[in-house]
Amino acid sequence: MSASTLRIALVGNPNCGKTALFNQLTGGRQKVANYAGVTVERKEGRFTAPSGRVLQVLDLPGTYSLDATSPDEQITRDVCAGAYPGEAAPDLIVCVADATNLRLHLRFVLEVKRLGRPMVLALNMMDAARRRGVVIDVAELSRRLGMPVVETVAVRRDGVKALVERVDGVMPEPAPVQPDDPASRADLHAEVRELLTAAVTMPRATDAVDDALDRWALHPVFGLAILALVMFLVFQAVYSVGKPMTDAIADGFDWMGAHVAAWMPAGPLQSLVTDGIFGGIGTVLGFLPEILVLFVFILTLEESGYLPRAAFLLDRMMVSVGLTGRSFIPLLSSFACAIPGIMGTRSITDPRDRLATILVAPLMTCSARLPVYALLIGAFIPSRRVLGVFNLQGMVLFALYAIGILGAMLVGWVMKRIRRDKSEHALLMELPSYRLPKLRDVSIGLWERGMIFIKRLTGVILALTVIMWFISTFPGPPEGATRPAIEYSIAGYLGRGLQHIFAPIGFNWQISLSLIPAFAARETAVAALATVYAVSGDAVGGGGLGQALAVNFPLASALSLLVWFAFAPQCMSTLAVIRRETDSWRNVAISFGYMFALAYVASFITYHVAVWLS
Amino acid sequence: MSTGLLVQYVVIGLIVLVSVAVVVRKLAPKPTARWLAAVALRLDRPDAASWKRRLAHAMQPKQTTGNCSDGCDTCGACGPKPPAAAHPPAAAEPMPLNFRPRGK
Repeated sequence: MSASTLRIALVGNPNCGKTALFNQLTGGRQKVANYAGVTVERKEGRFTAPSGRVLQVLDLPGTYSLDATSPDEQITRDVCAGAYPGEAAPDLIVCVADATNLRLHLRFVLEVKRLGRPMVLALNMMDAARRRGVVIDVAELSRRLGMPVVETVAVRRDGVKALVERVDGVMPEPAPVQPDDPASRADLHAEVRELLTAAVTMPRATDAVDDALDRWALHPVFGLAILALVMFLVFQAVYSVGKPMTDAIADGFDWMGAHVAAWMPAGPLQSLVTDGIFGGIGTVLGFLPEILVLFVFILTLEESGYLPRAAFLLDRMMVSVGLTGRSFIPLLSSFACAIPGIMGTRSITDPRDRLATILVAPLMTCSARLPVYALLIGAFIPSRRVLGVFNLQGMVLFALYAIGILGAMLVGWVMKRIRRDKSEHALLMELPSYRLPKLRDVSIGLWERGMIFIKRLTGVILALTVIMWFISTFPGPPEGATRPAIEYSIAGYLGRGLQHIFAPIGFNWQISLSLIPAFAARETAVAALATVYAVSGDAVGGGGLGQALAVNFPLASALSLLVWFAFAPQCMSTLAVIRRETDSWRNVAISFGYMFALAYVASFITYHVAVWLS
Repeated sequence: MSTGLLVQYVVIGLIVLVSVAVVVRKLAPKPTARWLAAVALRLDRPDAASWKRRLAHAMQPKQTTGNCSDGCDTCGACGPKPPAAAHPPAAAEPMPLNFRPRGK
C-alpha cells in the first residue's frame, strides 16, 4: 500500500447512512435499505481525493456501542480498536450520525472518541433534519466534541463534497484515550444531554408524519391486516403484471428457435441449439419479468422503512414459535436468496436464536423457486377471477409463499420444544423514519437483480442445460428399440433409478431427474424439464413446456411437486453457507435432513389427498 | 459418418466439456482451484515452452471469497462486478456460532 494512502473507517449506529456514504465516496453499489442490520460484514473500497491522495474506505456494520453483543458488532469493535486480524487500525475514523436522531447517535460518537484516534463526525441526513425543523450549531458541536463536524446528505450526489474536502485536508488531532468502564459509560448520557442543550434545537423528538402513519401501521389489529394485504397484493401483482411479459418472451424464444432450426442443418447440433439452449434457457428467461416485479415491491418496501414495523408487529408471533423479531429481516432477505438471509443472522445476538433462524431461513421462498412455481401454476391452475378482483393464480402463489412461512414457524416451534434453553429475548429495534423510495435506488437494485439472474442463466444454468441435453440424447436407442429414444439415454436410466424413491410422492422419471440439477440452482429444474420434454418430442405446439406438463403430468403430481419445492433441501450454495456460518457439518446435515423429510412427508400427503379427492 | 456430422460431434463434445468445467468450478470452487493451481505449477517451469507458461498463468485461479452461486453478491464471488473505483470486498469471514451458558 502506498504511503500516501489514507485508511478511513465509517462507523456509526445502524441505519445512519454509512453504506450510502460509502457508495457515494467509492462509486460502489453495496446494498442500502431503510432499516438496521443491512451491513453485517466489513466492506472495502477506495477513491482518489482531489489532492491525488488515495483514500481506502472501510464500511463497517452499524452498532449502538463498542460493547459488542453480536458477531457483526464485534467486527466494528475490533477494526476500530486495531484488533481485527490482519488489519491495521484505521488512520481516521469517520463517525456517521443521523442528524434527525442525535439524542441516540451522539452517545456512540462519544464512545468512539474515547478510543483516542483521529476522528471526524459526519452529520448525515441533514436535509431531513432541516425539514423537521432541527437546528444544529455545527461550530459549537465541533468545539465541544473537539473534532471536525461536517454536514452530509449521503443520498445526494453532491452531499458528501464537504466530507471529502475535510478528510483530504489536515489530519485532526486525536482526543486523549479514556478508560472504558461502566461508570464512565453512564457519564456519556449526561454528556449527550449537555451537547444537545448547547448545540441542538429540536422542535419535537419524533416526526409527526411517522407518528400518524404508525398509529395505523403498528396497530395490533389493523397493522397485521395492512401487512397481510400488502403481501397479498405483491403476489397478485407478480401474476397480473409479470405474466403477459413472460408470455411475450416465451413466444419470442419459440420464434427464434424455429428460425435458427430452419437455418441449421438437421443433426445433433441443431437439437442442442433448439431443444437444449432455446428450449431450456428460453423457458427460464421467460420468468425474469415476474422475478423483477417481485423485487420492485421488495425494494420499495425496504426503502420505505415499513419492514422494521412488520418485524415489530410479528415479534410476538415469532417469539411464540421459538424465533425472535430480529429474525424477521434475515428471513425477509431469504425471499430473495437464502444466502444473504443466512449471513444477515449475524445481527442476532443470541447464538441459539441465530442458529434457529439459519435453519429455517431456507424455508422462505427464494426467487429461484419462482420460475418453478410460475410454470406449474401456469400449467395447472386456471387463470380466472375470484370475487371479481383477485387472480386465482396469484392467490395460489401467495399460498405457496405462506406455506413456506408456516413451515418455518412449525420448525421453529419444534426447535423451541427440543432445545434445553427456552428463555426468550425482548426485541429492541429502532424504527426508522418513513421515506419515499428513490427511483434511482430501486432501479439500481432492480438492475442488479436482473443482472444476477442473467449471469446465472448464462453461466451455471446454461451449462447444466447443455449437460442435461447431452445425457438425454446419448447414447441413442439400440437397433430395434421399441420405447422412446430418451428412455435408452443416460437421463432415462438415471431418472428411472430415482423414480423408485420419488414414485410414492407422484413424480415421474422426468421430474425425478430434474431434481438433480435443481440442487445446483433451483431454476434449472425448469430448464431440465423443458430440455427433457423437448428431446423426447413431448413439448408440443406453442404451449411449450406448460402444455407438455399439463398433458403428461396429473394434477396431484403437480401439487405434490409444488409442495416439494416449498420445503425441499436447498441448493448446494445454501448448505455451503450454513457450513461456513455455523462452522459445523452437523448443522448442514440437520438442515438437509429435516428439509428432505419435511418435503417428502408433505408431498406424500398432498399427492395422496389430491388423488383421493380427484 | 459424414464429415459434417463428425464436425457436429466435435463441436458438441467441446461445448459439453466446457459446460462440465463451468459446473464443477461453480459447485466445487476450492477443489477446482487447488487442482488448477497444481496443474499451473507443473506447466510454469523455467524451461517450459512459452505457450505452456502462458497457459499456466491463465490457469492460475483467481482469488474469490466464497461460493454463492445462488445469486447473492455479498461475498464477491458472483453477481455483477464492482465498478472500477471500488475494490472487491474482502473475504467474507465466517462468524461461527459460539454457545455459552446464558447469564440468569
